[in-house]
Amino acid sequence: MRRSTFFAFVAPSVVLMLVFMAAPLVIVLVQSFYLTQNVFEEVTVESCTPGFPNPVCTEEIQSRRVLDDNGTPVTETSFVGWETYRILLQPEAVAEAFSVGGGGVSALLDIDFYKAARFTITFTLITLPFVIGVGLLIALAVNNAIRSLRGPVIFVSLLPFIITPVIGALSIRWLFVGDGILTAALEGILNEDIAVFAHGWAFEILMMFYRVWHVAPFAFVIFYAGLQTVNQDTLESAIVDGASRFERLRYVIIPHLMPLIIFIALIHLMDAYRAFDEVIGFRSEAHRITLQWLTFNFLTPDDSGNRAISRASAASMLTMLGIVILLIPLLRRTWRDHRGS
Amino acid sequence: MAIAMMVNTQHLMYRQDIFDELGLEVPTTYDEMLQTAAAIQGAGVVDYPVGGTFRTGWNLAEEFVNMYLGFGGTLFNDDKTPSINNENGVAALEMMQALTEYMDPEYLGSDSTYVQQQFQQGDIAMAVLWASRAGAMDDPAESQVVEMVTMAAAPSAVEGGPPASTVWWDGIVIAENISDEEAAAAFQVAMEGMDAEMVQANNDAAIWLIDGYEPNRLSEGAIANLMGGTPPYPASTEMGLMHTALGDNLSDFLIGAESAEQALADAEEAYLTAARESGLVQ
Repeated sequence: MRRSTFFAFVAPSVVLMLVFMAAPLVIVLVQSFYLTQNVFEEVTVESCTPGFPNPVCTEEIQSRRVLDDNGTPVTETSFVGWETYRILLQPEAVAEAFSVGGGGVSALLDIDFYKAARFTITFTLITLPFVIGVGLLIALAVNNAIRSLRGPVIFVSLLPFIITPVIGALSIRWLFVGDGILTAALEGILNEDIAVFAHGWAFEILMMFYRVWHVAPFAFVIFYAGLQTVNQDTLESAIVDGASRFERLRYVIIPHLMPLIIFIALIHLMDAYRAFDEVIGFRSEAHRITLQWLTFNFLTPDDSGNRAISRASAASMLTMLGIVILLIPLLRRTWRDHRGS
Repeated sequence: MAIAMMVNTQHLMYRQDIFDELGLEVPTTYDEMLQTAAAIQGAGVVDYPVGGTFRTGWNLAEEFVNMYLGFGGTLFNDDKTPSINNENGVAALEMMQALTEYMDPEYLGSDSTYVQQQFQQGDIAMAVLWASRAGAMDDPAESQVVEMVTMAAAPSAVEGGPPASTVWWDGIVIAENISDEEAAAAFQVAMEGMDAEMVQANNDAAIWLIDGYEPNRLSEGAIANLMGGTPPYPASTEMGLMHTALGDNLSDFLIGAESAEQALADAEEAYLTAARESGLVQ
């Protein structure tokens, strides 16, 4: 292929990636180092409630945003360097927690960022082996099923993956909430009042269960495709050599699928670290929050329209950094294999 | 420029039939509400005697503001720094915790719609709930307790105090910096929606401040709140930040992870961070 043809083909993708991925990243990075503040003035205002039954009038000093001639609020933007990151990570509080007489881990987990990071990392690392394991199990089961059954089985196994994440999370919540079908059934059997969502650990387990249920079909599809290309001669010679079913899996099939397992792990680490839908769907904010939810919370305007853009930007950058750190071992391995071959 | 359209406030709703059957008085303070709840629980007529909009976030913060103002607390110092970590704050949180003992244990996920459904399905006997939800109690399509729920003023936090609640005036606002033509058009559109015809078609959907509204038994709670001197919600720029800070931090006390003082200190710290960031506090 001529070099110019190659560039003509690739250029649109490169431009789109620059516009929609690189540019936003750079903007968010820059935003995390700047702070935009409103300018306030103090004014004495007499305000009255509507007359029902009688107007209540109060005179009070209010902080009001200063408006310019066009009526838009005046803002001041200043470079604050790492200050926003410091506010998020609170290094002084961390140092205090681990100094003599400090609160230790529980004091650390009282800080929103570490609380969210603790759950996000646990969530990501625990769901990873389950997604790969369950995906592989379904793939093996389907591969060994009678040919006529395969179509329907594949269809049913894929269903969880098609459901919109937040709806899936909601449906699991509805099953287990106070008067949900499953809770009601359990209460009937055990004759005991059950409140699943009054416990942090219950949230944690159900959120992980939901994620595995939701993502395992994706792993299954990939592994199922991989299973179609396993070298049958090698498998047959393994059988002739007397290898058991497990040994064939361990020494023939899994090594063959290894690049796919790494691929699934990469995708899953990236996705799970950005866990968000579970918090919203399960309403777990009191018990468990994730880093991505923290960013969302900073961006949500309150009743007066305030939003913490700088902190949201810094939290986003830290989330990205976390993903990169998690991916390093896998990427190094892929790179070594690549060089080796 | 603002035009009020309706008033909303959280007031007491209770199951008249249960109160009659057990011979209970309508509680006028939260201490009485706890005693009433204990009596209902003892009789075992409902799953949970009390409902509450305690969902972590906006709802929980609103409950705290209601209770804290009811105890006579003030939220800010003159320089916009927070002043909630005091005996009123602790009293408010402890009262909220005492109420949760009588609630569905999943109360931290319980918003207005959930409490409304608890009422409609006969799961609870009383709750301090939004006036705008009163109409749903008598909706035969959803409710199993039609005409069984009676409205009253929110209980007060201290004996003889005003109802521990806040009043929300809902309306439309026309921004000062838009052109006169735009303002006139916006005004006309709003007025078209806020006429007597609309109110008559939706009489029980809210406590309307529009001609044609007929107050009835469903509006008695809101009116009692207003007559009892319930303060308006102290809306302001700093209050927006405070509301978020409260909503994000108070549940740590209710789940038992922190003391009341620590939860209030965390909320103050979160407020200060946000207020410094927005330029409100230096």
